[in-house]
Amino acid sequence: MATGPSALRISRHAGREEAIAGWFFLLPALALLGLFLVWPALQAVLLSFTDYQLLAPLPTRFAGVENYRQLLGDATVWRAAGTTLTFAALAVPLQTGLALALALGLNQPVPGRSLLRAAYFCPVVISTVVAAVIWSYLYHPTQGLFNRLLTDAGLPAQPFLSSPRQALPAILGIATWQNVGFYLVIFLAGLQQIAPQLYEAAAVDGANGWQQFRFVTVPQLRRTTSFVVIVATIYALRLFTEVYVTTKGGPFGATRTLIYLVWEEGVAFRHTGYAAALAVLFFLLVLAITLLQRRLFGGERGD
Amino acid sequence: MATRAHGGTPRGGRCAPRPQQPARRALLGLTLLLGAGALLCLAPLLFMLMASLKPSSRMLADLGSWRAFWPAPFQPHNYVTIFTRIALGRYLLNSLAVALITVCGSIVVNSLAAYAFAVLRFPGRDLLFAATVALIIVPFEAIFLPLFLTVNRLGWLNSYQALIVPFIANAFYIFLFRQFFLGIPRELLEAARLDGASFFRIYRSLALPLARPAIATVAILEFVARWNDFFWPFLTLTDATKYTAQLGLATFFQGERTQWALVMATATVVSLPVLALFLLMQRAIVSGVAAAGRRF
Repeated sequence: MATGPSALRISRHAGREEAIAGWFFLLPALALLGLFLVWPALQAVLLSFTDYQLLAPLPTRFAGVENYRQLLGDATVWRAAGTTLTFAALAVPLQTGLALALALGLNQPVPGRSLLRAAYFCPVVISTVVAAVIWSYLYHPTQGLFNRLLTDAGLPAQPFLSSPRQALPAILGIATWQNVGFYLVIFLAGLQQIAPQLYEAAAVDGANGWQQFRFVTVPQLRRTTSFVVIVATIYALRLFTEVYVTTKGGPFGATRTLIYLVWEEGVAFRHTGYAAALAVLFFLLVLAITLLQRRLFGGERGD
Repeated sequence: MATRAHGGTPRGGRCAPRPQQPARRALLGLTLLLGAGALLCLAPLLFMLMASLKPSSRMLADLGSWRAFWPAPFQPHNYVTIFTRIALGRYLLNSLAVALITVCGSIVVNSLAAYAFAVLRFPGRDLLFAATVALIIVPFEAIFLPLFLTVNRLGWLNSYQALIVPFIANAFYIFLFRQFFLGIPRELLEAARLDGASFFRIYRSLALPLARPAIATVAILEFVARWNDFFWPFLTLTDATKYTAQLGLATFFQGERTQWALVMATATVVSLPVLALFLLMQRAIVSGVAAAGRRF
């Protein structure tokens, strides 16, 4: 075939053609991501420095850090942040722990494994609205299933969603029921990737069940655990739909989460600039927690 | 030494079946435990189904006894009533159309981009890919307000476009497709190139058919995500005829709390497509979720 110079010319020509094709292939995705993700993200930051009001005819003015200053002095914001973080602090260990325990069980040669796994996964595929609707009947203060069980056992009936103290734990119940199956499947996949030879070697060394879990399973499952914890944290921090359907942020603001507040301020009250500042803080919170957890779970790079 | 590790009895002949016995019993106990947990997990769904098949008054009276899980008196007519009571047929069609169109667009746009990132060579590619992957972390909740403004400026409020177009490009799906394309042997693609096939042709008739498992995963994940989404349709739709199934259900629930059986029938109908899809395509869903965890 062609020798030195002409081959080079062909390949250079082909290279340019390849680059053009590459940009054409990327164009639709980049345009859409730019318009509907990057631009809104930048706009959130810009808006957070203005007094913009949703769909209002008033001219928008630059407000500097006024929104942020106001946020930090707003008791509602602090309370919503506290509610959101409390929810995450309860949800993440509960859901991760439960999912890991179930995955360890399902990783044993039990009969009907795939059937069991499917049963645990079913609540994951139904919508949050459906989950919230079903559970609000189970939690019903006078006629709900749970209260009937309690009163039958001679215990006092509980207000659940209509009590400021119990509403958040009640929502935690709904979210746990819906999410555990998802984390379970991820853990199970992680467990099945661990080489059986590692357990055989540990058994030969005389390690008992607990020691095998501690010195083989835990370290081998590190990346999976880190992924599950991060996803569970982000899910918990984003809490909105369950709250909107069951309590609308009540009773007395007890379940008003950060995202609920962003919606309330930004859409319902039309304080869009203020809500944008809140959204920016929310994103920074998510980012900080994710980075912190990545660091805590060890220095492996997560390609 | 070795025998001690096995069962603690020094006599070889009897030690083989002995550790089996407690292991089998433990396995039985574990199975029962996991089975009970699975039943608890399914109970709310079973409750929904049973409650949807009897009169509302009966459902109330039955709550809190085992009868909550039994459809008597049997009243399947609820499923006819809900279609006349609210425009459920319309809502379901809206959801179906929105989900299917988004899925198709998503497969084309994201696989094209992923192919460029995985196979084609051009300056700036890797930097651009890193930037795209970084976008995965931006939660929708942090940008929904300005996205709402963008959609409003486009004149898309209260339209189907608002539910479709912003969700077509997805950084995570690009990442998923790219992983698949990286697995295709380079020689195969280069041979096709030498045969004179265009880049698009190689993508279309060689790479894409090989990425069928990734297509299935993306299709299912996106279908379920769009079908189940509440927040965004709730923000952008005001016209009740454009409602999606989830929005219709939430509105019906909040307006008619007393019509419990009808609400439950609606919830069942709204859940059926995703539950059926899951049961039929279980393997693709589970492997997709697992892949997300593994490739993190």
